[in-house]
Amino acid sequence: MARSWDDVATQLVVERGDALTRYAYLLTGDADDAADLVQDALVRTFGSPRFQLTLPRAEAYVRRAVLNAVIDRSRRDGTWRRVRHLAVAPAPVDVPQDRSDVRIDLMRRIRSLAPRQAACIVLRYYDDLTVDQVARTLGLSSGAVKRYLSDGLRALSSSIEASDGATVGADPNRTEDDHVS
Amino acid sequence: MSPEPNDLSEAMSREADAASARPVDLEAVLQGSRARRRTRRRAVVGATASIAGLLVVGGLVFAVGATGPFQGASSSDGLAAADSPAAESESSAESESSAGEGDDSASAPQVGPEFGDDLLVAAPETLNTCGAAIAPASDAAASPLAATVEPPAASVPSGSEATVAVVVANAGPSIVEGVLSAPAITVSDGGATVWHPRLGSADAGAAPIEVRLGPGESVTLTGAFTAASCADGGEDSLGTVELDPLAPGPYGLSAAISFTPADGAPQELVVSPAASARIG
Repeated sequence: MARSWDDVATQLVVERGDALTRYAYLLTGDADDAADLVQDALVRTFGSPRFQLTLPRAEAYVRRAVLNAVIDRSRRDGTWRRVRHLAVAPAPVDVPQDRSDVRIDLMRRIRSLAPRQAACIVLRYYDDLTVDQVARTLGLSSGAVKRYLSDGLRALSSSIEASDGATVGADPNRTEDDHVS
Repeated sequence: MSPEPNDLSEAMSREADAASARPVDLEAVLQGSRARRRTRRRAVVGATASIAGLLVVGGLVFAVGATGPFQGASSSDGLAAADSPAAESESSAESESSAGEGDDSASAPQVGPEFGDDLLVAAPETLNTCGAAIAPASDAAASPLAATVEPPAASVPSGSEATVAVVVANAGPSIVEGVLSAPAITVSDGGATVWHPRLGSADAGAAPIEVRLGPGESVTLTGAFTAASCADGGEDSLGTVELDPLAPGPYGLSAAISFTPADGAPQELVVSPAASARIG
């Protein structure tokens, strides 16, 4: 017998609410934004007709909804990012001084990746999901996830190497359209 | 130098631990999603009532047109009467009445312990999503209707659009009456969705099909699909970018059809098992 949506929503929030908020926070870098995104994503997930909504499927829907919101935001910001270099001289990237700085710097670089790349990296290396599990969660093929992971790691590597060389070669402000189009 | 997985994991763990995230407000989620479901249900019921109203008005117009010639030479009076403002006002009054009834039923309370049953009010096109496992076939014990896909006999060229016959049969012991939507066809590979229609595209231009099936009777519908893959681009790629043609090989074709019983029972989705088809 199908369970009530409210039951599934309650169980999801109680058991996975914290994990979902952390996922959103790692993508956005703002605790309030993350909480709002998860709240909206939950309402969207449980406010739309869905077939056979189980806990794992509901969690995957919420994660996808969060990612879509981040992608939308990234696209909105994309126009400015594409023309910003015409108006503003690039600032030199500070070389991190200690491990805390290194961690913050790495997170900044992860968040500046295209959203799907960032989401794949968060799910793969923070949530420790396999490639196939990431694919199921985000509704992508395993091949696409591998490509996003590979591109994301390569972009991180380029960005780090560029700043190590005290240059600003890497574009830290890529948007989803950069690799989708 | 590529960052090590351990460094990534540690950086993200520390970052997430350091954040003082606001907990999810469960009550707000439940209230918000209930309100959204109510709104959607009203929209579905309202649309169904509007379609029913149009069918009634269409039937009346057709009946008036059909009876006109039998009035012989004086039919011009009849036609004039039918075209007169009075007749128009009658028709519109009737349609308004139908719409009003629809609105009344649509705004009926939709909350209650049984509200979870609206799990089944889903658009057939959104049943499967790109890259995800396809939904299982309908449980024969749960519905008298069973759908099967009759795949094309010939191979479908990669990247092309094709149609497929979908047979919906009444496998139950009693008459089934209601309205079927156009079938939404899903193409799958190894049980995972590689193509499905965009929301609203499966039945674009197609009228709902009224059926009255006795035990053992069936109706054949036609569904369309494209031999292309949305698996890489995900849901966002549907309708926004040109999809890659599917690699040649065997694929599964399955159909989802929504059925609205005439007796007012909840809408249900009839899902067929995947049938093998050759692409390329």
